[in-house]
Amino acid sequence: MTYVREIATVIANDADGDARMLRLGALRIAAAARPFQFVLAKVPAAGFMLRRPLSIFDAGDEEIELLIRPVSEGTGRLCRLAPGESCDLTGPFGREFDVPEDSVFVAGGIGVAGIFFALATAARSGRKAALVYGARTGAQLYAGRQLGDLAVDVTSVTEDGSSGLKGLAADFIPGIPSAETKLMSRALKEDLPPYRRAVIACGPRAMYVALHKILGDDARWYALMEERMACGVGACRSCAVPVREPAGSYVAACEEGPLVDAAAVDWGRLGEEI
Amino acid sequence: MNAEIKVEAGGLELATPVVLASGCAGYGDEWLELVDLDAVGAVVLKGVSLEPWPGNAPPRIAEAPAGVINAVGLENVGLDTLVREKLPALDGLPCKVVANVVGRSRDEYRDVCSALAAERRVDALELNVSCPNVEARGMAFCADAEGLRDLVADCRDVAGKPLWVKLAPMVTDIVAVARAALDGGADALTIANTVPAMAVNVEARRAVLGNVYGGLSGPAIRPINLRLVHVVYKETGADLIASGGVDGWRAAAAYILAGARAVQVGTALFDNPGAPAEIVAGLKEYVKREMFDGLSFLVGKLRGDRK
Repeated sequence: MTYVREIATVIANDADGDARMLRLGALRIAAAARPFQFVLAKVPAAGFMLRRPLSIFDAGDEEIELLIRPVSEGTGRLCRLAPGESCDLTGPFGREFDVPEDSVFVAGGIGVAGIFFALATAARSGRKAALVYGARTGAQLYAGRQLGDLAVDVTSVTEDGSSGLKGLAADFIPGIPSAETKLMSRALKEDLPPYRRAVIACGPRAMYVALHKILGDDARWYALMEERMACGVGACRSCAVPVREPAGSYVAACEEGPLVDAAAVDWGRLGEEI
Repeated sequence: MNAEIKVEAGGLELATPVVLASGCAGYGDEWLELVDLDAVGAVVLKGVSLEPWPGNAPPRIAEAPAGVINAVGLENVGLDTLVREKLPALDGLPCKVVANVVGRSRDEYRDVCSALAAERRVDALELNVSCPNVEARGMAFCADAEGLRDLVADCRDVAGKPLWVKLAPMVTDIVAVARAALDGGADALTIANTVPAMAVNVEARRAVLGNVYGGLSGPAIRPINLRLVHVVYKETGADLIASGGVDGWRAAAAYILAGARAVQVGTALFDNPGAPAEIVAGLKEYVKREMFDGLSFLVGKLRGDRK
């Protein structure tokens, strides 16, 4: 793995609902970036002791994009970075992951930031890619334009029915048996592959709990774990994800993840949402 | 190249006075690509126990004003894996390696020290004596001066290498604790560990950390530890390695003037992995500007100091 520290330059900062899409010139990180990886961004203000972990939304030859929701003072500061300003990044961190051919992607809200790069990479290489994208309400479905530019089959789901289907993303995953009846009645697109596709998910804890319930223990699914983090390199062991084996133990999300095999996770011992 | 900032501390010759602190520095090679280890005199490895420890329930870290509170809980791979997998990976490291030892009983500390005595890649040992002693109703080892002296003496007997003892900052009489460790045979004292702390999420009405309590590190504790270093230096004159909020050369110089021979850098790495190199550059410049013969000359040289 190759990590670097790079002072990136903000090229664009565009609104996307209540979030911001930052486009940054970052030659070395862009060159090394792989789907599911993340950067640690230094908050551009005094008094912040920890960098903020941010998924690499997408990467080109010389640029990366970060989709950031201002959920705290630190992310708020990052969201206010203006074009021309610099941003101190380290990364890219986290493991690469070979996406199984038959995967279906599931995102919840801002979680689309964690899987867009993988989805786009699959679509750009001509693979058939599908996304079930859920949110509480239509305003929290982000990256509409970027998703529209990809040849990807997107199923939108909102809890309040304000956009797309009404319900939870976990209920509308094509190829998952317990979602089958709903799928039939909603008359989703024909040509659905056989069930038991791999599921790759990024979203809030509640979505993972719902997925765990629906998919059961034997499903092939992978969850992108977003944890409070400090170093990004596996040294400090702050970003602990509880695992089943050995009983009572943990892995570091930055080192073993951020995408982890959900079957290995001890969902009952998860920490609180960040 | 670093002649002016070379120091001797705790039985080790350090190429620079910057030591990477236990816990933040992993097993010595995680930071290789981001931290310039040529600027580092020694790296203190993550505390190791006889058997692996799983660590605390998450969340394990919280940001605080001018600091970070952690409750990692000394998660570590255990002695066997450290010796078998981690130490061999450090062969090419350009700095000294200090193994940090944790335990729940005197025997455990002694057994770990004894095993590490044979490891050629380990240049010194550092005892973390803030751990609860299961044989003393969970009281920290450093809370009882007599017990601490015996613990250090046990480890001294088997260590076969320089022995550092990392003290906790929240004790009734830091000088008594320091003397106990020195009487037990410590070559140097690391002053000090994190300060007990907590954080609360008022919206959730919960403690932020899974373990509720954690240890505060970073600039927030620097003035506290600076005084501890000074007090212990004045009273004992021992070799001290300062720890707590070293994030730049000024903080390092302050500790050295207060009596430390070297400084540990931990929390600062998270925000600025370039900190060790910046500290070394700043100290060199300071030594040159003030026309001192070398950094060691500055140890404890405060003007107008208390008598």
